[in-house]
Amino acid sequence: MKQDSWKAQLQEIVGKNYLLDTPAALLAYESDALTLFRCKPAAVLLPADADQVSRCVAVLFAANIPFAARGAGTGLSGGALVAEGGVVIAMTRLKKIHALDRERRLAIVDPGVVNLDLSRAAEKYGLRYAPDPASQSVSTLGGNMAENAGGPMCFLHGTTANHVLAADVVLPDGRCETWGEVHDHAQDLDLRGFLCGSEGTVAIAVRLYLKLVPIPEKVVTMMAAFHSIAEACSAVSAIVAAGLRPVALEVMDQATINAVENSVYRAGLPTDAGAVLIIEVEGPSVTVDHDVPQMEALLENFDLLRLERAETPEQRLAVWKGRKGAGGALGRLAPDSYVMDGVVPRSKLTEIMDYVGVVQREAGLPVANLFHAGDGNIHPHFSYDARDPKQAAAVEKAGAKILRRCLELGGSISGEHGIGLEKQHMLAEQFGAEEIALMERLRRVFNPSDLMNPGRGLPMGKGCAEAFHRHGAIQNG
Amino acid sequence: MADDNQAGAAVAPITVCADSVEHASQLLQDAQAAGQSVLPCGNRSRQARIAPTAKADFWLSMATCQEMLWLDAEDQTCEVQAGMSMTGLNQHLNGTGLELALMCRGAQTGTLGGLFMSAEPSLLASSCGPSRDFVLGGGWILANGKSVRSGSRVVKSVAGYDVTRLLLGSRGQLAINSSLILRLRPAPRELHYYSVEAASWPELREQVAPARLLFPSKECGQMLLQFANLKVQHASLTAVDFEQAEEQRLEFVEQMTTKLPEPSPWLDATAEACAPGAAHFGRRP
Repeated sequence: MKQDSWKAQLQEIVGKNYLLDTPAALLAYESDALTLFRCKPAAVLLPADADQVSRCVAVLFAANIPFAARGAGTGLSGGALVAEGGVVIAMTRLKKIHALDRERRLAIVDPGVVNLDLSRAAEKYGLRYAPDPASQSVSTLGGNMAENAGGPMCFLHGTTANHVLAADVVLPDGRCETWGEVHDHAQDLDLRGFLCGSEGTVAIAVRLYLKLVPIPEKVVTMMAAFHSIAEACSAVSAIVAAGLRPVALEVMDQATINAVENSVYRAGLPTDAGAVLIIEVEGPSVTVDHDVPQMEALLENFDLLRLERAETPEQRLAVWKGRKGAGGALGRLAPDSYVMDGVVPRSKLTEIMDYVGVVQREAGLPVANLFHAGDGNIHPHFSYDARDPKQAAAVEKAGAKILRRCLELGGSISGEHGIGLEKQHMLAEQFGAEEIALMERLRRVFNPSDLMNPGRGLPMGKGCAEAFHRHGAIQNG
Repeated sequence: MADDNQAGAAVAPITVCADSVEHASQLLQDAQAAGQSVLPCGNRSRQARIAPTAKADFWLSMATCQEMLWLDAEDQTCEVQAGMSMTGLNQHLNGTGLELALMCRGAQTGTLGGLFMSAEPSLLASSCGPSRDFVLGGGWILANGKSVRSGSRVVKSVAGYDVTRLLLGSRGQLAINSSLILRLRPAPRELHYYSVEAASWPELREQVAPARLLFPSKECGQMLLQFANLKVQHASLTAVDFEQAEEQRLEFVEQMTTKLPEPSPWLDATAEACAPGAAHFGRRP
């Protein structure tokens, strides 16, 4: 089909203002928050509803045009880019909250609803949406589902997959189905579970049925300052080993603290500390009042610089503003950032942090660490200048070394950012050939033409990956 | 291989117990070569409720594979073979302060592999999450005899597709489960059992915020609650004897009926993807 023909059909579906194809308009869609990879699509569609998404996909399928759904573009693995000549389907106009069911603790939403907006809307019913990625004030629920996003509160509440009950989806040929059921007792094939974290390669969600959790009766946030990151990691282990269940255990190192305190996200963190541990406890008052003193007693066994409770809601918000703004604060330090994502068993945190230090010295580039310590999910944050090919190559090499160490320690190459384009070349180091082949076959069941987000999430040809790569060389060594 | 005159013989005449993953794998390869159809099972404790519709040449049971492969109390994870029972798991967890936060029908008599492969509803789902949320990964044997792993031993991983969740919900039609990597959690400090009368479900749910809430159905007026240090302010509440409550709880669990859905239309296609060219479980080659 000629380009004019399919574009005309798409324009008829979405309206002429919602098909973007000028170079200036496409610029915003050439990468997500991982700027290592860039590719300008042929067009961007902004459908208004599920029906338009379905019809657009049917046209693209018939015309054999590759396409990828995209939320707010906050992804950190290059998951929502499409190859040259492809089309991006931006879901940001599908942003209606259709229902909030207090009795069933259920939200029915469009995929373009911003994560935090759902919690704000549910607040009046005493409910909230638990997964809270750092991007939650801008990232969309559909994007969160595609990447199986996490966040600090996931230590207690689990990741996005634990909170998606069902989804209305558009298949790669435009047909519509519903996967999952709106209760926790589904017993059939778990297509919903398979969809979560599939990076938009098996179906596009056009409506989500999400589980809400009650706003807790009481919340206490504590901040413990340590001389070193190793001590902070040991404290995390001690808290978990004591059988205590905080909702979040977050560590920031000195480089991160300094970046935060020198930014608009200033939270009053101690700049003389080697690391701070943020602990949040929530639940019925009786439980919180029991657990918090126990945690404080445990922490007092360490050589603390400081131990504080956020006494007021304002103080608590300030602490979280600092934690969630840390990525932005670090982004000010250099022209480019590379936020890594790896996981180790929690008991190996000290070991992996030591190794990050070794790699940092080898690379000669500044690294800051902020991580979900309770989950063993690390996020070394490299600051560099992508205009310098040596720095860019050094960052990628350092990232690959850290991920390999995560695997050696029994971990994973991604805890919440996904594989995208960034880590395809490393997936075969976590899984064997049989496992990768099984995943490939499963992808072909749902996406046989491979037009829906092609080459994402699983290993693909090197040449294909390079087509997106800003620096022209995928780090394999 | 043994004659089987008990329930289940109508579906398949004999049960073969695999004593290892390698043994099960070999049995599947032999069955494929001989054109035999196979039904995977644990100890078939759920068969009366979740009976397969297909007839097969033999049951392939993993019930004798009951080892704890590893237990990492510090990271609150473990890997068990599929034939491990809940009772066996609890024995291993004794003294660690950890538990598998599930309360499923037949959990005490069945295998964990059977429990998860049949996606048994957990009565703790309201507060602790459904059973599938506790499985981080595992080992699987496909219909062609090939062994694969899924997931990871860490509590959070989004590397590759979540094959674990897909296979867990398949009721054994896509793969045989050989092992499960489980996410454990600290056991409650105290357990108390109470019987609560509430006028309606919303009233109960709004006014009572227990750590655990057991309910056989949304409409059921009388609920059994299990919780730690709960303050109930607006519901009529009576503490009951622990032993009596345990009996009541088990009765509720056993009475709860499960209406199984029709198999997904994607089942045959995913089965072919799992083991190309092999008849999927319960199907004749």
